[in-house]
Amino acid sequence: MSDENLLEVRDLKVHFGGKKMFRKAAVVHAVDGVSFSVPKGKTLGIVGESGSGKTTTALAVLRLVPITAGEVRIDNLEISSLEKEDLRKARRHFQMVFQDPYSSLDPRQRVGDIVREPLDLMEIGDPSERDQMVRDLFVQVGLRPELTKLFPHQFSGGQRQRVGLARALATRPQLIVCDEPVSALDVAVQAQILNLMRRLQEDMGLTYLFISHDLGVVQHLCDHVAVMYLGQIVEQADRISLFKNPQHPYTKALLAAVPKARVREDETREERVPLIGDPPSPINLPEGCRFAGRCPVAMDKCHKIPPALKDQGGGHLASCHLLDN
Amino acid sequence: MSALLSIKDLVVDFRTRAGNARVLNEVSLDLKEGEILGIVGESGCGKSMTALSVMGLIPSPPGKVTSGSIQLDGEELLTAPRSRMRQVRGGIVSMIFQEPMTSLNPVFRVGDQIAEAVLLHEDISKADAWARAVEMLTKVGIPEPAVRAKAYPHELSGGMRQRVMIAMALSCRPRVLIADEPTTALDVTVQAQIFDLLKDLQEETGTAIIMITHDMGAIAELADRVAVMYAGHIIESGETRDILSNPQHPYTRGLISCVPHLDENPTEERPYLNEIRGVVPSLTELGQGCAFAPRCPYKTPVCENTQPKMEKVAGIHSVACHNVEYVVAV
Repeated sequence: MSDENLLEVRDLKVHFGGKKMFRKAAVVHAVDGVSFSVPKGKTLGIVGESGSGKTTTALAVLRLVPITAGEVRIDNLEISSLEKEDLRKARRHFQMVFQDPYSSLDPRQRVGDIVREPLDLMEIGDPSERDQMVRDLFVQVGLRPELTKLFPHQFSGGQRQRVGLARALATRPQLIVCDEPVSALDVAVQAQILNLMRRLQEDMGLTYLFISHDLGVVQHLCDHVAVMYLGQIVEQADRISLFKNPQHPYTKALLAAVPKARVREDETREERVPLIGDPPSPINLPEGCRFAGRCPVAMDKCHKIPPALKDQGGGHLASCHLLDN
Repeated sequence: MSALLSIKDLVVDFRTRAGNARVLNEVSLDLKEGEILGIVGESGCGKSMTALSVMGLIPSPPGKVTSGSIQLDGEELLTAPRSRMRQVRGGIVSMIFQEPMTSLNPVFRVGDQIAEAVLLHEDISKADAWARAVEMLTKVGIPEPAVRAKAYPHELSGGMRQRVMIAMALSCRPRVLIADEPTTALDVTVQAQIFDLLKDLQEETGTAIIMITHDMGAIAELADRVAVMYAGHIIESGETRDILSNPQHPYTRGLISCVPHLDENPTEERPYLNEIRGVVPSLTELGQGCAFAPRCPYKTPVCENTQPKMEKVAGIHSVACHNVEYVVAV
């Protein structure tokens, strides 16, 4: 274990189901053997389609879903084995920002109280100082401190996401897990929140685990990127290497599918090889490579033997049989 | 070629507790036969309201079409009787919505839902309508269409449901298809499939498409022409490539530059994103001047007092801005 990594995840598995009252039920392999680490002060982006397990990975890191197997360490503290009170106390070091700023704030609580609640629960500072701390947090996320008395419905989507950020920052965490924090926002507001997140990271040395399906946003914000498909990481590299030189056919297809908001000189629209079909179900997993069924370059071998995630040079990891040659 | 659908000076008001909200303010748009027109803007800019006006679906009250005209092939739709609008909706102009799950009825088989649309508009037998449903499902690329026609919406994936919506919308061979954020709820890979499908169908059937979106990428991908909306106004319009490569209105410029575009050749350098300062104004509190003025970095006194009119800059490229020469020069 390196000292520089704030978050280390080893062979994480999250399986759902398996039991129904009196009979066996299908097992959903939501996350199936995922390993990654995030250095202090950096951002790891996890991308993938819906159902790839990216959100479940985020929730498992925060112990918000039961971990089936594997290990999660935050700042060298093993989170995955902590019990009740120890886990509750440790939570001040890792917080979350949610996708939907409308449903992630209690509509009947004043926003100031929403931000103050973590301070009360974690007993941070003197109770008399906490109101001032809340006002400071408001300023930090770009909200006027007089707004603490208002209710969430009096805010716009962007302002609510700022409140969500202030709440996450209240306990001075080291790690913030962001699950699609800007995908519910309009593009102009999205730019404001992304810039705010970057500023906060620079000022406070925050580490982000950033879940998103928007590759443009991930490229902008993240230092490292992991691509997930059906519960596994199929490719992982630093930002430049991944976008410049994608190795896995799935990553290539994902990148090709993003519409480019630019006009080419020759005025033609790019013809791309579309990825056919939807991802298979995480219940009946294919025997070989999980992507083989949709892969444009699949070979016989791919349907039989699952490829391993290997270093393709310079720490750029990818799992594909084609890369072995 | 004359316009197939022509919207002129359309004004739509909503009465709210906070006062009158003018959600569409003198909106004029032309849609030609067989073209794809994109309408872009943020939430609340009026892009969906424009679509609903064409369909005659503005909820009234509180909404009200105050003035203007909408002509479909020379026929005025705003004054058309209800019975005629029922023929138009789904028959001549049809619409697909953002969320395919909530727009399909969960308790009917998808084949029956498509057949129902056909039966409403055409005098054919139930068996023929079912056959048409299966044919449409084939056309939108659903594997095993005869089997899938008997499926319920929950048995299909998001992409499949959106294909069903497209099949339903096209089942009566409409002349205009309005697609309101058709891919927002879908994954990028599925979005790409739906774009390709819309393009192919458009070429094959010649249906004109109005594509409503907040995504400039989707516009670049599909649209021939674009109209940019802000606070109920069209503030810039023109050919897609002109708008994307040479935007003139400060808002359009902001909208294009604030999105982190995917770069095939990224560098170490990562500048902060351009921000459009402030927030979209409340429609009940719009003043006399340009709606964008409070957020505009180039505003001058005239912007606060007088609403700019759409003026031609080149070809069909028009923009509503008092200081357009200055904006483009900096």
